[in-house]
Amino acid sequence: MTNPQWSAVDPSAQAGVRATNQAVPISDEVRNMEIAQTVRQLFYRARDARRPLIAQWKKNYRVLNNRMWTSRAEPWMPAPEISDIWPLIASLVAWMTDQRPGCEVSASAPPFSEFADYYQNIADQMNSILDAQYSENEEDAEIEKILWDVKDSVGAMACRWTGRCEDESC
Amino acid sequence: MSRVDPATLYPDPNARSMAQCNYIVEAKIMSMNDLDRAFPGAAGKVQPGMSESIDESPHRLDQTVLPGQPRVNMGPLAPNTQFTTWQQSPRANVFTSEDPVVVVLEAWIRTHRIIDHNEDPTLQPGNARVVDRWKCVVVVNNTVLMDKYADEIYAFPTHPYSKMVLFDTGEWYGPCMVEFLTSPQESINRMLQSIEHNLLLLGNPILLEQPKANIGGRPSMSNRPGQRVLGNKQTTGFMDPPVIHPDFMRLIEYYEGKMEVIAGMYAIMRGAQQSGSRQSTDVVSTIQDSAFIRVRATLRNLERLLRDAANKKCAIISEFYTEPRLVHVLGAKEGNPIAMALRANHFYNLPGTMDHSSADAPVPMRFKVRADAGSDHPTSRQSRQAQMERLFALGAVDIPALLQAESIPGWKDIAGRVMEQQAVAGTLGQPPGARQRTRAQ
Repeated sequence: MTNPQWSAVDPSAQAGVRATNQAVPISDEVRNMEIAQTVRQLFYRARDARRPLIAQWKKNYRVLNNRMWTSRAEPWMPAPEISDIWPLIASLVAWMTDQRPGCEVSASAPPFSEFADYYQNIADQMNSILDAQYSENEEDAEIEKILWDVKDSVGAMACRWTGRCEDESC
Repeated sequence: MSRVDPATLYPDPNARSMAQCNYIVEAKIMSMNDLDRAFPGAAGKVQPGMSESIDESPHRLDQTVLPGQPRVNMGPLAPNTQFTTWQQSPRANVFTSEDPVVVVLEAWIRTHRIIDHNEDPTLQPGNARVVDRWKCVVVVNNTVLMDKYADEIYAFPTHPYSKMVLFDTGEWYGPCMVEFLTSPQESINRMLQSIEHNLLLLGNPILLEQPKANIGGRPSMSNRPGQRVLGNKQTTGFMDPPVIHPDFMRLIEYYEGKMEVIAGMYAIMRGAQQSGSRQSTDVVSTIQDSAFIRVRATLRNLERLLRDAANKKCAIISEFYTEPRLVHVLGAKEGNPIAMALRANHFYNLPGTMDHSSADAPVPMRFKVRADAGSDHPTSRQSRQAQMERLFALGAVDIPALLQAESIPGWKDIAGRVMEQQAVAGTLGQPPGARQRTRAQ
């Protein structure tokens, strides 16, 4: 079944429909505009659905950072803010980062095959590179930030090839 | 691998997991310089300006959380119930940077491809299989900067994102720990306010004076400590504040206890010891570690995230390490920095040597990834060290492993010296002494 969201983005996915429209060629500019419009529609839909969470995340930030009281009409009123949440969350994150997370890879080569040792050696080298990048790119700090995000319900990580990866020493 | 601000990541609202996700949009504010760096030539195609209203995580400079702004719904105690109305600052979402910026929408959209016998001869004629194929579309305003399939960009056919939640309950957004803890925290703050106010009235009571006292009339009376109000002749004197009920403190302790239960972080896990108890370090470590069950559950989720991300990372390294490199390895395992020479296309497999690559041309290798964030180990450092000491006493591990687990600086040199001394004394490889064996029992 054709993905309805994608149908609008990629006319090639709608082969049957396209055949009837071939008499009217679509310029690249119009096609790009349609694609941009579709992406924006997807974005608006996701943003509107997620909006209530943003208000909750802002409230969480204020609670966590001791900004709980409203502006007081009477400045003499006590406004104690003894945070019990901060030490709990900080301890939680600290315990989870107390051990050094890491990954170990093995080559997906058939065991006992002629080239198994060769590929195992390659896998060991990949392990060394992952170790080196962990230190070089300070990935432990990224993991810590994700764990702080997770307290608000979700954390995310992206894996991309960036200009920094061009550095030939890691 | 880098963290993505969850506020800027907009997943498919119908998705409950990554597997169900049909699209993800990452919205970024980029300066024109950054845009041109990421997509050369793009700066000439788009007009700077904030075309979309996007969200961002709160931060210290966020105008909606500045001290002057309305906050969480806590107001002063009655009778001073003059609340400030909550309203969004009109300038809250106004971007104040002077650099020309644009909003970049990076959308990853799931499509699929049908592979039949013509494309894959291993399929029987008439049979076909469907594979997911993600597409990346980068848009600024009405300009499309990129429109490519993932497998045209890098070696894996999906989006670059991995996500984790505290506990996987089958929803995209997992349980929110701070939300659970907010209610007891608000109650504690309110009760502390009452107690503090009460103590202030006790230390600085309200003075009731005779009507003749020339203090001016007050239209209304509040319970502000230290003030003077008009009474009558019989009631002149300091007003007694109400006595603080002992249940106040018990209720605060109850809330604090509940907060620990909700977070799964008990006092003993934060280094506190029960008053009057004199427990040994081992006992405390054991109690601590049994209480870490929820931490380990979250660590398992972290391992899933790392495994997913590492799979993508390995694919990227395999594909893009195309130049000869001299990689400095700062591995913790070796202890000393070493270098490793990689040839061009080092991680491309030799054609016909792996089961999944029968193609003639070399292709980037695939790896099986195992992530370890400690979910299978004792969580506290003391427990891990105690475990290693027990194994050492049983002869199951050697001196280098023990010293490494104890995080002793220069453990490799020390282990070498000790083993040399043992070799000279003729005790190398012998089981440890009686004291260690006793401890192991």
